This record gives sequence, C-alpha cells and structure tokens, in this order.
Amino acid sequence: MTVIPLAERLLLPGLSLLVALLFLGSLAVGPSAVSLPQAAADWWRGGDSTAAVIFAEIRLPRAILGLAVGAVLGLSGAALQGLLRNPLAEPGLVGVSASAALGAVITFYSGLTLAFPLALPLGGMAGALLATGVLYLLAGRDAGVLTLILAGVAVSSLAAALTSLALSLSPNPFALTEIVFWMLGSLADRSLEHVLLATPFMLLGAALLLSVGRGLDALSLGEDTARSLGFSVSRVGALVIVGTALAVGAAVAVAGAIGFIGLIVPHLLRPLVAHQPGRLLAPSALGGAALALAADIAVRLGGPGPELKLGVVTALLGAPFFLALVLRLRRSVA
Amino acid sequence: MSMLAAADLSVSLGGAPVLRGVGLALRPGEFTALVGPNGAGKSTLLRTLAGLAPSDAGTVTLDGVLLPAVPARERGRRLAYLAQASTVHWPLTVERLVALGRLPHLEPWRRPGPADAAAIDRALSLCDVEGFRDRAVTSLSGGERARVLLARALAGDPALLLADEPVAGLDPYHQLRVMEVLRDRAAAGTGVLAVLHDLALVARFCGRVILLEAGRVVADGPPSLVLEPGLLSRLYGVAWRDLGDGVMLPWERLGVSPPAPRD
Repeated sequence: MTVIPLAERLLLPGLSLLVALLFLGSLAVGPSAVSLPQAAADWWRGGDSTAAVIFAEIRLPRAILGLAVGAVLGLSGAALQGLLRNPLAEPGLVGVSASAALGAVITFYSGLTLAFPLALPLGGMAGALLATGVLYLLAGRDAGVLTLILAGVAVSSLAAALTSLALSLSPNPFALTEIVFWMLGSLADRSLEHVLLATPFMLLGAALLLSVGRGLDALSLGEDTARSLGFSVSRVGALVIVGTALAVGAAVAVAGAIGFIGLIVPHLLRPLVAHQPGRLLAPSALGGAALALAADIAVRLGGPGPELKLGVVTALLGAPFFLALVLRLRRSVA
Repeated sequence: MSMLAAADLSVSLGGAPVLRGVGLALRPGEFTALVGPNGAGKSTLLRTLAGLAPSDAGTVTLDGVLLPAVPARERGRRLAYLAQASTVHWPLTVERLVALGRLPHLEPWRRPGPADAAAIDRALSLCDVEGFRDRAVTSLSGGERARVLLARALAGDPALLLADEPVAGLDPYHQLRVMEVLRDRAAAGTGVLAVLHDLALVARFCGRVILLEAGRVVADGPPSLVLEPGLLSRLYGVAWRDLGDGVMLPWERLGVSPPAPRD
C-alpha cells in the first residue's frame, strides 16, 4: 500500500488553516482601526455603521479577491508546469494576462472608465475571453500542446504591442498614470461587484484545472505512455489551457498582473507532494491564496506613504527566487 | 483472454512508408519476439498496435473490435505499452511511478484500493525493484530505471503487453530475469509482444518470432524455423555463428551495410 508520508497528509489541512488565518488577517488590517468581530456582526445584522461599511465594501472584497486570485494563480501554475513537464512554466504563458491587460487598457484609453467604473474589469474580461476563444478554437482542432503554447506566446506579444500602442497614443497623462498603476497589479479599492464579476470565471476555470490531476500524473511518463494508459493528451492540454485562460483572465481583469505566484508556489510545494504533479494542484491553490493574502497584508502594513502595489511586492520577492531556481536547475543538470 | 490482430496495416511517417501491409495476430499465452534491423518499423508497429499512431490503411482489432472504437480506458486496462527508452519527467519515487500503471483501473475521484496495492507490490517484486521502492526514479541507473518502467507496465495486469526493447541496457542477470518474467507472464495467459535484438535470448525464451524487414513481415513462426542463418544473413548483412540449441551470434559484417530496403 502506498504509504503517504505524514508531512504530505498534513499539507492540505495545514495550508487550509494558514489560508483561513491570513484571510482573517486580511479582514483585520487596514488604515482605519476597526474591530473585526464588531464590524462583521454589525454587517451581518444589516447595520450601516462606518465599521460595517468598511468591512463589507473595502475589507471583504479585498480579502476574497486575495484568496481567489492567489488560488487560481497557484493552481494554474501547477497545472501548466505539469502539462508542459517544465518547472519554469507560469500562467502568463498562455497569453491571457497580456490580453486581459489590453482589454483593460482600452477601456482606460477610450475614457469608458470615467463614465462607468466597472468598464475596467469588464474590458479585462473581454480581452481574456477573446484570447481564450482563440486558444479554444485551436485546442478544439486537436492542436498539440506546443502549438497552443506558441499561439499563447503570439497572442501575448500582440496584446503587449497593442497595449504599448495605446499607451504611446494616450491623449491624457492622467489616464497614462492610471493605466501604469493598474498594470502593476493591486487588490486595493475593489468592490463586491468586482468579486461577483470575476468569481464565476475563476471557479469554472479552477474546476477544469482540478479535473486533470490523474492525466498530469500519467503525463510524467511521456505522451505515448499517458495515451496508452487511456488518457487523451489533447483533452488534458485543452482543459489546462482553457481553465487557465478563464481563471487567470478573470483574475487579471480585476486585479491587474500579479506575477510570480504561479511560478513560485508550485515549485516550493512540489517536494512536499513527492513531485507528483496531480497531487500538487490543490496544495498549490491554497499556497497561492496564502502568498497573495500575505503579500497583500504586507503592502498595507508597509508604513506611511502611498501603498506599494501588490504586483511590485510579488515581483520583488519572485525575481530573486526565480534566479536562484534557475541557478539550482543548472547545477542539477550539469 | 484478449486477442490483438492487425490486418493489412500500412503506416507512413512524414510521407515515407514505414509499414506496408502487415498482418499478424497476438494470442493469449504467447511470448512473441518482434525482430528486425534498425528502421524496419518495429517500434512503429508496436505504437500502431497500441493505438498510438494512426494507420494509412488496414485495421487493428482488440477482441474483434476495431481499436479506435475501444474506449481509451478500457484499452488501457487490457493492453499495456512499454515505450522504448522513455524518460520520466519528475523525480517520482519508484513506488509512485509503478502505481501509475493502475490508473486505467481507478474509478474517477476514488483512491487506490487493496487490489491496486497488491498488484503494485507484485510488479515491484517481479522486476526486482522493491529494494528501491522509496527512491527517486531519476536517481537510478538506466538499467534499474528500465526495470521500474517494466514494473509500471505489469502493474496494470494487462491481458496484452507490447514492450519496446524491454532488455536494452540491462546487465546479463537482469536480462535473464526480465525474459523469465515475460515468459512466465505469457505462461499465465498474457499475450506478450517484445521488440528484441538479442537473438540468443529470443531462441531460448520466445515461442514465436516475427521478422520484420522494411515494413513487411518476412517470417512468422517458432524460433527454430525462423532464425535460420541464410535468412538472417540477408536481413542483417551479418554472418551468424550457430552455437547449437538454436543460439545464433552475429559474427562478422558482410559488406559495408545491411542491404538497402527494397521499395
């Protein structure tokens, strides 16, 4: 009988506890001193005290988005690394992050955001869905995984070029600043509407990603062997890529580009699940949620002055880590 | 008791014909060697029989059902395929890797049960790898890894086993061990088709040899009839030395290279 080591069996409960604590921490932290139990109780009773309003309209959406965005980034990173059998794959690879950013930038550029605040995430979602559609059409035609990734790279480059075009043609310097700040990635000042807009897509994407665990396990033996075990490699690939596109597209649409979570979290947790790609999925979702919530608490505790952007913090943490990872891989190969 | 049959099978890769009208039937209880020079189409034949490569013409049937019509999981349960020199992409432990052979038997979202654990243990001990059950596959030597991969294929208790060079890279002890395992499996009712290059092992262990030349079956029968010096010399461009008991060794090259495949 396969004996699952104690550390591995404690991983999911431990990470769940960590995420729950960080979620509460995220609810508790902010510039205005609010008693969390009192505010929550007041909100629950339908009260409209300042504390209840802060809780429901500022803290709660921020904590939920931290949880959900971090979870889908970690989960899709783990799924893509398993699919490509490459520890350097990350969610931005399939092109939806850049497309969602482009969609959002277009709403800024056109001034739609001034008329209608939700235009921003809606534009992001539209960009992400368009990119997903392109990938899905390719996936439906039984394109290989490599084709899908190359298509993602192409979509990504095109979206980045169009974003730069919009930036350089921007008539309004304030819009330009707004765009740049938005693209840095943040969870500040998001409303429950943002949550309601993005969550269904994130849930659907996450469900697709969580369904491929055994296919990813089989793929560790190569595509031929995976197929001989009864798995359709093109189906697993389509589920991972479309799932990532939906979930990460929605995440970027509401939170901007938050890098490195999808790269770091699966890599850190992989040894704890004995490198089995299918067993890495759920822990990576929880680990991503924990990292995003922790980083988002850190930016709020960052002292006086304007709050740091979440995407800046994750990149500051992530880039050195990435470098160390590359150096370690080089050593183990050499 | 499963049977795999190919009829008039033609396959081309990148526009070049690799198999030209191959017909054969694999029966339960037979240990069959697939033999032929490099490039004769042995691996392509195995992949096509496993349903992994599309054919231009002809059919493959599993128990009378056309292979594409057999549900993939069902096919995975009945037919195991051991790829040639396959890589393992993550440093999985030996036990977890062998457990992957049980995937076609697992119900969705269910954990493996005692029957799975027993099959995994059996496969580990058959291939003499239970000693490094908890080691990472990537830390093993090539020969050790080859035995672990064979254990993976056996863990599914397949009715048919297609093995591409199962003894390549093994030391003599483990070559004999693997040949014995395959022969015993066949005696227990599994149909085994293995690509092999060592004709001495073939003569000793296999009940049947299929000789492939340039995508065609040129001989099919018991080793004592098929492994005949004249045919082998022509096929490989090598003179053979008969050591008795049907054991043939390649002795010296005739000319510069094997005869070019005829079109």
